[in-house]
Amino acid sequence: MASSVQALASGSIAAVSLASLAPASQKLSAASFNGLRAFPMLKQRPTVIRLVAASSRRPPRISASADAETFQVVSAVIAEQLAIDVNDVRAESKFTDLGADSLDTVEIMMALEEKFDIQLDEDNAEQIVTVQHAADLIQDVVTAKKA
Amino acid sequence: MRRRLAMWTASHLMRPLPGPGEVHVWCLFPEDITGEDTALCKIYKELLSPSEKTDIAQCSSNPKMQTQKLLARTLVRTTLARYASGIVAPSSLRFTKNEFGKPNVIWPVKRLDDWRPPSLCFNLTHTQSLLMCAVTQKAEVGIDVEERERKFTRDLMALARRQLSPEEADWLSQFTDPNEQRCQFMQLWTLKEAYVKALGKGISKAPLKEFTFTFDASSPTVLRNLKQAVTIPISLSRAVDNSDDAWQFLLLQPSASHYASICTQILPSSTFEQGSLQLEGWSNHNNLQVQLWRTVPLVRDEELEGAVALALSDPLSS
Repeated sequence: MASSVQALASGSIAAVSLASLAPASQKLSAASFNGLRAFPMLKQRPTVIRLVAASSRRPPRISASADAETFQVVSAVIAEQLAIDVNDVRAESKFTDLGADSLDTVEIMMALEEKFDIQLDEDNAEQIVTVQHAADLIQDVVTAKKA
Repeated sequence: MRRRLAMWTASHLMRPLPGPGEVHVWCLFPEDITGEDTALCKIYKELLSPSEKTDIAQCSSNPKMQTQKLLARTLVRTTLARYASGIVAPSSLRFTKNEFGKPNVIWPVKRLDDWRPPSLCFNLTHTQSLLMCAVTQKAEVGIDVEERERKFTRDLMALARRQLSPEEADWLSQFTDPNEQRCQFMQLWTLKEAYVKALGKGISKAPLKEFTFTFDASSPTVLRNLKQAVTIPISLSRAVDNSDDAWQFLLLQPSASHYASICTQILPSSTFEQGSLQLEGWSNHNNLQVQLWRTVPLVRDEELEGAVALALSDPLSS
């Protein structure tokens, strides 16, 4: 398990050079960066971080199957987050096919946590591919919480 | 099939391979393919495999989503085929996924005279308004794009506390202007996503909270002329993948309304010493070189105008 202090170069500037590539037969023209929009100057000192590498964890299996009411609430939350018609949200719909990017998935998780008053961890979140998975997971967690 | 192959031997569609330390990025803006181009979309569909076609038909009743998927698959296939010297048609490529879902390409032709399939690494990302495919030779690569004006439905700092490392969240909390805070979040997000995608092992092996990007504020910002970009160095606290791999990051705006990050592996120089891959005069492998094109597959390629580099990491080689 490696941890290291990353020393930040002070006053050093790293250049991105976008040279044209000129192999023997064909000249490639490169898109060039037309200068740089000034990066906002930060007032605080940069922090140096010591890191612990992630331990590997086995994600828990989803066991329950969602009841109809849970499913409806989950679908409604998803539809609202993605600004789509709830009728387009089917059990087998993949999140990505509904137009969700990685941030949408996180926001949906947060909205579901709030709605059902539960906590979801990232291992669970990674397992979720379809709407049905999400509903089943919620059902699992809600049931476990009541127990 | 012959006609399609003929299209692919047209010289402007063939590209030399990315060299050491070089990333080629192909950008597809859906707005470039207008509504009247249903004929073009039909041609694109013919490039896809039967399972891809089925997937598109079944994925959604929303035509926009179907088009997005079509363009994504088209971009990947046409991009990779560019580097095959006209020998391979986009439709003949096959794709597999590793155990974590990271795609890999299988070339249909294993050898033809002196030609062998190139060892390409690639990664795809897309939002509604921009699709990007990054390609390298041998070096793992990850890319992520987000819309700058993306609407958040949750409180931004709550999202930050949940998904970013504590140090990054602290850093973010110091921005008082909500707009600026949002932009900084988006930039950090693309960096983190690009890294995870480059690693290709899924989120559970590289939890977002367990690595930190810092921007080095002590370097001044300077505006430079064309073809030279000076950027703020960024650094990554030690990687979570338990390997000795070194990674380099570039944060950029491919257009005024997008942020994107590219993460690529820094390979030892011995990787490229053999054979014809060594380009004359190419000495510094640690100098990341990125070339960007704006493409309408099968129709035209042009330089991507107006891209702006925001930050670049120093190579992590010790």
